Amino acid sequence: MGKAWWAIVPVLVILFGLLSYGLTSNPKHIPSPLIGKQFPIIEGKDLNGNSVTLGVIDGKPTVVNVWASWCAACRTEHNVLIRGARRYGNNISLVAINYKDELANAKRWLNQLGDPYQWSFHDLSGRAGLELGVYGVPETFFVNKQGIIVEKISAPLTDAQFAAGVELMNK
Amino acid sequence: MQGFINNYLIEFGHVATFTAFIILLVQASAPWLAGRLQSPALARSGIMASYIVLILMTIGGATLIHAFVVSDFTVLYVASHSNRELPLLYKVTALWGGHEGSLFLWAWILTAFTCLLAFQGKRLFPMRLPVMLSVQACLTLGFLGLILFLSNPFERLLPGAMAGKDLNPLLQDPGMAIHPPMLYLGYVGFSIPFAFAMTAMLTRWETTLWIGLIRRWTLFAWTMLTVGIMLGGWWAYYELGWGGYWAWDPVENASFMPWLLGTALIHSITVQENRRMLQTWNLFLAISTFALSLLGTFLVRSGVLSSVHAFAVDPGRGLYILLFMGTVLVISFGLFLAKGRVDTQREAMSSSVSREMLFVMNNVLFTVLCVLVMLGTLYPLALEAINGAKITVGAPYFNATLIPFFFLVILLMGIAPATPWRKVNLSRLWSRLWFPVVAGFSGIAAMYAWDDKAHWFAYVGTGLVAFVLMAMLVDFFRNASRRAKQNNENIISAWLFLVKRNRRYYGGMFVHFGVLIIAIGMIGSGLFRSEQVVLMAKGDVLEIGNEQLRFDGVKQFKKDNYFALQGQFALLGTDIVIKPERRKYPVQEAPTTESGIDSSWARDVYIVIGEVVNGRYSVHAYVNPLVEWIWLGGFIIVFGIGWSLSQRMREKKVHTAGVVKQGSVA
Repeated sequence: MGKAWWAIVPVLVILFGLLSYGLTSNPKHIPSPLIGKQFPIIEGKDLNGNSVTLGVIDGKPTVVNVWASWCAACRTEHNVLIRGARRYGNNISLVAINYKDELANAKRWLNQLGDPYQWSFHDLSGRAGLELGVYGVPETFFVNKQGIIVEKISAPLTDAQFAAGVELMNK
Repeated sequence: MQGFINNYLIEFGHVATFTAFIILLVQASAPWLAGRLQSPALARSGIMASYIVLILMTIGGATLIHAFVVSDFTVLYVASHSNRELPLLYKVTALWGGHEGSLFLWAWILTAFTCLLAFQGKRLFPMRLPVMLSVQACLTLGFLGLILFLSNPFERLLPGAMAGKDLNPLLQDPGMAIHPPMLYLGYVGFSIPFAFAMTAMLTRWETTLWIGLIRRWTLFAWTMLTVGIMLGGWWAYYELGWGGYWAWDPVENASFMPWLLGTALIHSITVQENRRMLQTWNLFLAISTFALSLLGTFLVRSGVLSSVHAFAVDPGRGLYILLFMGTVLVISFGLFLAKGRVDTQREAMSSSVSREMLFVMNNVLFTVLCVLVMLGTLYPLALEAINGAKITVGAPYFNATLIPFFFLVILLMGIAPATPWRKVNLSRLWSRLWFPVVAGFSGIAAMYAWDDKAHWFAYVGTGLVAFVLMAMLVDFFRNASRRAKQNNENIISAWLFLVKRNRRYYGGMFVHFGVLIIAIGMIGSGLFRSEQVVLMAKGDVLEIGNEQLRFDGVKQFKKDNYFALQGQFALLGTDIVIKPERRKYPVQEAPTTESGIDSSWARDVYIVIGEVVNGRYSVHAYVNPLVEWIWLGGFIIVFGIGWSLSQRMREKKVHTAGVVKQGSVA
């Protein structure tokens, strides 16, 4: 082939270099503005009708997980939470916000799949979600002993993310 | 029994798809195995394999659609993209509402094309067919591998979800429902010219012997891509509520790049058919067009570029598609560099001004346009890689760099059809073009008289459109009056006779005409639109463009799977009421806007209703002149291609003889 055609080679190399770089960076990763802020105090009921308050520090770092029984991705996340609760349960509190969910569906879900939470805030109206800027379920907040949000994950949690979040909370 | 069937049907589809994967492995290796084992029968098995694979994939697709229709939420993909309340149409189209299903559709369409190719090849090129089917099988394997091992739409969710997550409300629109399949038909359609090119290089098959065969495939793929892109614009215009139809979003660009090179390919195929030139270039274009289709799929499916088409993906899939695309590109371009010169004879350009030279210019322009789009699309990525800055390249870059080249393309559209092949007699060319040139300058003058403060695009654009329209009219009169004189007919029936006989040429002319109509629509809506954002209380009147709108309050109601808030705007001087809506879909939580539009050929009045602030509604109103012409132009283009493709019998003679009697445009 003529020499000019060999220009294809550097073009392809640059293209693949760029695209592989693109795979490692996440264009949608915008840090939550809530990180570094105090977790808001929100009063309400849990799934059994008991009064609970989000944002009150009980001396341990707290993981707040937002879930719903209509959320398919939450189901895959659920095992991560159960493992996490087993591993770190003595050192952290794991609580939940049950987001815009029917009470019966939510209870059935926890009965079937196991309940890793100390309690689930029943947020039928979505007002807690509104205060926390929840825009998709599942989301998870990591809150340290001082009540400061140190990390927020807006996707199904992985074991590695759980471990990294716990480490951040203990810093 | 019913429950049993519902439960296991999806597994049946899964197994069928997996079986297709295994048969494809055989199909891909058939030509080599046949050579090793000295068994021609094995080579022919690829034909039967392609039929079976299509049937198996159809079973897989049908079980998925069935799962959507009966709302089987034990299928993870259904649970994440559908809901019981969803209207039936969207339950079916939800199949391609997400990542896994979209890929499945891609592969499904690919197997359908392979099947058609086998059907055509059996008669026309049986010796080369096994290799070609093997190329297609390799491509299908690449996609099925991704589907079966990394993003499986058949994955189960046990126990099943209580309710589905619903389809993204933005996708619940008729235009959006068929936009992805159209794009995929285009992308996948370009795999056929690619398979021809690969086979030619692998088996030393002179391009001249098959270039006529890929013309129809290319035209079909190009048309589907055009329709897909137009539907995307239509959807953006009616559904997204920002008053425009094209935003130079990375994913839009991803579909536009193969379109640009596909357009170049259509024209260069014609040159080779007529003048036996550009053989190597055509190979290159056939490979590159498909490569860009793969790049488009990668950009959409990997989440590399931020875009309105926000598809959540995990990096494993992105890496897989990148590696797959890398393999395809390295093999195909490597083969091209090693064995790209498959033709022995070539004909040189005989004169500096001729139709073939203008076609070459057309190809240069479209390639430059494609490169410019690619630069703008990938530049943010390059910048981020170098210094970490996050930027987006938007409409100002693309408009400033691309539109001048599009003007040159339109100019060529006027000159090339008036120019004969081989050699032009310049004074005769001038005799055909002086009147269009006068028309062009009159167009500029008229535009200036109407508005002397417009952007220079407006004057040049109008002048060029007038020039090309007049060149078409002159061409029409010249051809028709010659025939009318010879046969003593009236000029219209003479022209109709010509249009019916020479479908390929006039089909191309209709397409050009459609492009001009779109250009008119874009000049009007792009350069002369009015826009206002205001707060309105009941009874307020807004003046915009030459229109007056009175706000008559809102209505609220529930329909299907959403709640709506509907504004009532009276267009004063008429009895028209424009009703923009804001909808809320309870399951997905996301609100969407439905713009209210009153359309006429002169202008669209386009209203979006927003939040309520102190009892007044925020209202975003536009007057978009001539925007309907864009959709009309799209219909004309599709008609033109259909007309061109309907020239069946003549076509068959042409590709064997390699000669076209009358000049053809594309």
